[in-house]
Amino acid sequence: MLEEEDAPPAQLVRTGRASYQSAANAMSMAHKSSDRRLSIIQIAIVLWMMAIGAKLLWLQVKQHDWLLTRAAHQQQAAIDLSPMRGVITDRNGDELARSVAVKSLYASPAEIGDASAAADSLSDLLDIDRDELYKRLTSGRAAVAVKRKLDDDEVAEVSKLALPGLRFVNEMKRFYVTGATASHILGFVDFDERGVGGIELSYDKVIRGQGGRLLLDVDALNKSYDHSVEEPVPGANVSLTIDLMIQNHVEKALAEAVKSSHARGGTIVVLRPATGEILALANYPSFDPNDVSESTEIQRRDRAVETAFEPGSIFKLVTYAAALNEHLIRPDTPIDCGGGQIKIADRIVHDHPYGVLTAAQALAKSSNVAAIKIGMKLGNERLASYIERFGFGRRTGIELPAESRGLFQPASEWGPTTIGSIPMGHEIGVTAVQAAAAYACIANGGEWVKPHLISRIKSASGDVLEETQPERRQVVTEATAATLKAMLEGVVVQGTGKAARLGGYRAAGKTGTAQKIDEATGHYSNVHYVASFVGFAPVENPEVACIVSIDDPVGAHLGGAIAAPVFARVVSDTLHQLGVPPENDPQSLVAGDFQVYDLAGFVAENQPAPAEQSTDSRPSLDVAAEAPRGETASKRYASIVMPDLTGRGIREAVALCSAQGLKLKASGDGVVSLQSPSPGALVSQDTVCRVKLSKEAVKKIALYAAPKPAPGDSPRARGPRTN
Amino acid sequence: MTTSDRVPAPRWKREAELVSGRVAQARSQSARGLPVDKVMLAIVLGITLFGAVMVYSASAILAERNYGNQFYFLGRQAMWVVVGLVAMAAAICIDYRHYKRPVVIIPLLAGTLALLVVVLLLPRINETHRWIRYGRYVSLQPSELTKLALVAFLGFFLERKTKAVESWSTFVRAAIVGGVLITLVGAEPDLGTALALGLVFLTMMFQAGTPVRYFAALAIPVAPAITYMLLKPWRFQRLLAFLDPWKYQATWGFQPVQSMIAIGSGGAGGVGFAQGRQKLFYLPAPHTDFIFAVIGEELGLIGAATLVLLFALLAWRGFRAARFAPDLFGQLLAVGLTTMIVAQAFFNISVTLSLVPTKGIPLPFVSAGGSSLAISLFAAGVLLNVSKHGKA
Repeated sequence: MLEEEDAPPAQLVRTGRASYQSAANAMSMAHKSSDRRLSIIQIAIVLWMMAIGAKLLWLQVKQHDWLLTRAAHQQQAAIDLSPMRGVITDRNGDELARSVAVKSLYASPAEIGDASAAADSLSDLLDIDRDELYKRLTSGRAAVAVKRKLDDDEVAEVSKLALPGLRFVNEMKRFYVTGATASHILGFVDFDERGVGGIELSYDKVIRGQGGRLLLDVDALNKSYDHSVEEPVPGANVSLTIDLMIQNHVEKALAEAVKSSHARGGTIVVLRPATGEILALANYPSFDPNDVSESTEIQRRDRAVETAFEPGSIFKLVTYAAALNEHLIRPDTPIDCGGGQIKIADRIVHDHPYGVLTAAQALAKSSNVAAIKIGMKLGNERLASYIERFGFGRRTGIELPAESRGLFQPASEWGPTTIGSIPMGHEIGVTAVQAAAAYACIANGGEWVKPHLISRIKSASGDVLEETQPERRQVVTEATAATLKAMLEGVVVQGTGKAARLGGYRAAGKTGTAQKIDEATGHYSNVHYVASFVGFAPVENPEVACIVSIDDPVGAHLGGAIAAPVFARVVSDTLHQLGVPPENDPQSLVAGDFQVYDLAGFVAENQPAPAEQSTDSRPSLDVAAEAPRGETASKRYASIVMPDLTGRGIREAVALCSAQGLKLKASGDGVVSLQSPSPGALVSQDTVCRVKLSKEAVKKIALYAAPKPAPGDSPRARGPRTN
Repeated sequence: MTTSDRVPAPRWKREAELVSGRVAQARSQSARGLPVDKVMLAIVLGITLFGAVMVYSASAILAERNYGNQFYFLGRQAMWVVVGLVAMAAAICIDYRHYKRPVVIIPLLAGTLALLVVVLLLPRINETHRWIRYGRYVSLQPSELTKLALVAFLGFFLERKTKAVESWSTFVRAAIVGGVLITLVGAEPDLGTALALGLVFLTMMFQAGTPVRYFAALAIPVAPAITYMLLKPWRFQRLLAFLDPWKYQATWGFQPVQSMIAIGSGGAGGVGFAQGRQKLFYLPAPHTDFIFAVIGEELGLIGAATLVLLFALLAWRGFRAARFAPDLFGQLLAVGLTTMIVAQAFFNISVTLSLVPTKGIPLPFVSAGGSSLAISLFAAGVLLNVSKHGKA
C-alpha cells in the first residue's frame, strides 16, 4: 500500500512537469534522490511492522497455549481439595466407611493484616504450633493452610474471631461409621485421604476418585479477587461380602476368647464355602480407623492374611485328603500308631500312645504318627503337589494388601526329616485365610473357591463397574470331599473337637495345637502354642466355613479347648444370622453316621447336647428374613430410650447411638432430619436406627435452632492434630 | 536550484491538477491550499480515543487502589486529550512555514537546551531528572519539547543548507546540535526518548540527502558511549535478560516476561475488554509504557494488529504529506514528525514484545501521560498542517 505511488508512469511525469515547472523556482526542493530515500524509510517502517506482526503471531497464536498456562500458573493459587472417597458398605448395604464434609481453614497472607496477632489467637484456639503458623502466615504464598479438617466447634470459634484473610474450604474426611468394627478389612486413610491399609489401600485407585481444586484468582500482590472450584470426582462405592452383624458377633467372640485365655492375639475368618465370600474377618487386638494415630503397629496388623503360622494338626486335612484322593487309604483303613513313636531318619517323633486305629479315628484323635505314616505313603512329591493344589505357599488373592504367601518349600528342597513334620503341619507356614479356604474347599465338594471380600463395585452414579466372579478349581474329587467331610465330622463328634459341637447343626472340623518356635532358642517351645480350630457347618450342605486361631494362650492351650468353643459360638451365631434352618436332632444323626467307622467304642463319649441348647430360640427361615436383623437376638432387653438425633451431624449421631448400644443406618448428606424409631421410644440393644440426613435441615437449624453446646461439652479431644 | 521532476503524485490527483492547474497556480505562487488530510485526522483521533478507553481499562484497579477513584487516570487523560486537541487544532491552522523563521527556531532551541540543563540540576523525581514540576499538577518533560525542537531545527537548518547538504560541515554542525540534545536527554536518563530522537535525527539527515557514508562517522562518538553504558553491570544484565528473558524472569526479565505472558494469553481474540488479569500488578506501568500488553491481552491479535496497522497507516499519510510538501522544510518537518510518532510507537510495541531491550517510552496518543500526549497531538497538528500544503 505504501509503495502505491512510487512509480508513476513516465509519461504522466513528463506531462505533469510543465504544470509544476512554474512553481519550481519558489521551491527549494531537495536533491535528486529525495524520493528514493523516502521510499527507503518507508520500507524500513514496513519491515519493522512485519517484525512486530511476526512476533505478535508467534506469541498470540503459536505460544498462546503455553503462555496461557504460564499466566494461569501465576494468576491462580490452587488449594487442593481432598477427594470424596466412595462409600464402603457391607453385603446388606449398611455403610462402613463414608466421607463427610468438614471445613479446613486457609489464610491469604497478603490479606491477613497483623500476622502476629492472628498467629497468636489462631494457634491458641486451634491448638497448633504458633511459630510454624506465623511462618506460614508471613510467607509469600497466595494461600496457606492454617489447619485442615476442623471440627464444628473450631469452625464456630474461628468464625467468631472474624479475622480478615481467612477462608473456609470444604473438604472431605473419611469417617468409619462402625468405629473399630471391621477395621482390618477396611483399613484407614492418611490425612490427605489416601488409603493406607486394608481395602482402602488395595482399592485406593477405585475408591479415591479425583481430588478437586479451589482456584483462587490472585493479583501480583497475592490478593485474591475471585475464585473458582474444580469439583472433585467422587470415587466408586464398594460393597463388601461381609455382614456387619456377623462381623460384630465374631469380633466380640474373638475379643472375649483372647481375653479369657490371656492370649497374645487371635484371628477368625468366616466364609461361605460355595462362593468364597468372606462373611467376617476379625483380628485381635484391633484398632479404630477413625483414630489411627492412637493405635500400635501390632493392633493394625491384619493377622488373618499377613501372618503365617505353623498350622499344626489342622494341616492334616491336606495329608488325609491327598491319601483319600489317591485311594491310598479309606476311612476304615487300619493304621498302626506305633504306641506313639515313629522314627524318621534319625529323629524320633513322640505322640499319644495309640495302638491300631482306623484312619477316621486317627484323624479324630489327631494322631501324629498316623499322619506321618500316611504322608510317607504319599511320598514327598505327591504330598507337595496336593499342598500346592490346596493353595498353600501362594497368595489366595484376597483383596487385602500385604498378604503373606505362607512358608512352603517345594519337595526338591525338603530335608530327610521333613516328611516327619509337614503331614502334621510343622515346617510349613500358612495364613488363616489359606487354611479357611482349604477347609471350605472340602466343604464345597472339593472345589477351591478364591476367598474374597468385595462383591461389587459401583460408580458414584450407580453403574456396576465390577462384580466379583471368584476363581474356582477342583482340588480333590467330590467323593474324596464327601468322605473327608464325614471324617472331619468325627473329630467334632468323637474326637478332639467336641467343644465345637453346635446346637441344632452338624459341624465338622479339625483342631490344631501347634508349638511355636521359641525365638530365644530357635526350638519348638513347650509353653507357646497356637490353638486353632477350623471347620464348617452344616455338614450336609455347608453354609459356613470358619477358622479360629488363638495365638499363645496362657494355661489351657489345646485347640480343642481354646478355639473349638469359639468356633461353635461364632458358627452357630452366623448360621442363625444367615437364617439357616436348624436340624431337628443333629447329634443322634451324627452318632449314627459315625458308627460306620467306629472301631473302639467312641459312642460312650457322644454326650447328647444339653436340651436347652438344641431348643434355643431358633428363628424359622421366614422370621429371620422378615424381622429386622439384629432384633431377634435381644428383643427382651427393650429398655433403652431412643435419643433425639434430629439436627445432629452423622458423627454426633453415631456417637450418641453407640453410647447406647444402638446401630445406626444413615442415608443422605447433611444433618439428621428424620429418624426411626422416634425419639423417646423404648428400644432394645442392637436395634438398627435409621436416619435420613438432609442439607435442608442444616439451613433450618442454622436459622432457628438453639446454639451449639458450649465448647467444653463436646469432645474435641480426638488426639493430637497436626497439619 | 535543482529540478523536482520526479516528485510523484497519485494519478487522480495529478489529473485533477492538470484540469485545475492554472487556477491553483494563480491562487498561490508557492503552495496550493488543500483540505486537511482527513484520513490522517481520523487515524489520530481514532487512536487517541481508543487510547483513552484502554487507559481506563488498564488503570482502573491501580487508580482505585492508589487514589480511591477508578476514573482517576481516565479523568486526567480526558483533560489532556482536550488540551492536546486544542493544541492540535491550533497547529492545523498555523501555517507551518511560520516555524522556519529564525525568530521561532532560535528561541525554541535555546529554550529547550536551557530546560534540559535545568532539569538535570533539579532534584530527582522517580530517580531521574525528567520532570520539571510547578505546583502539584503542572509538570513538563523537557525531553518531549526536545522532540519538536530537534525536528524543527533540523528542518530549518537543512533547508538553509540545501546546496551544501552533501558537505561535511553541514553534517557535522547538524550532528553537534542533535548530539547535544540527545546526550542531554540521555543523561536524564531517558534512553528511550534519546534513542527515538536519534532515529529522528538519522531519518531526517538521510531524507535531506546526507551521503550515507557520513553516518559511519557517527560511530566515533556513539561506540564509546555504548561501551560506557554497557560497563555499568546492571545494563549488561539487562542486555542478557533481553536475550533470554525467561531465564531472568524473576529479575531483569520480569517486565518483558510479564508483558509476553499478557500478550500471549490474549490469543487471537483476546480475553475481553477490561477482563485482563496481567494489569493486576503483574505488568509494570500497565496504563503507560506497557499499555500495549494490556491491549494485546484484552483485545488479542485482532486488536493489537489493528493498532499496529493504524500506526502504519499514519506513517503512510505522513510520508504522503512529505511528498507533497511544497518546500524542503515542509518535507523534512513531515518526515521528522512522522518518524517521531511512528518510531516511538513501534519502539514501545517492540519493547512489550521483547523485540528490543526494555526502555521506558510511551505509546503515542495511547499511553496515559499528560505533556507527552499533548505534544504528540500538537505534532500531529503540525503534520496535518503540512498536509494542507501541496505543490502548486
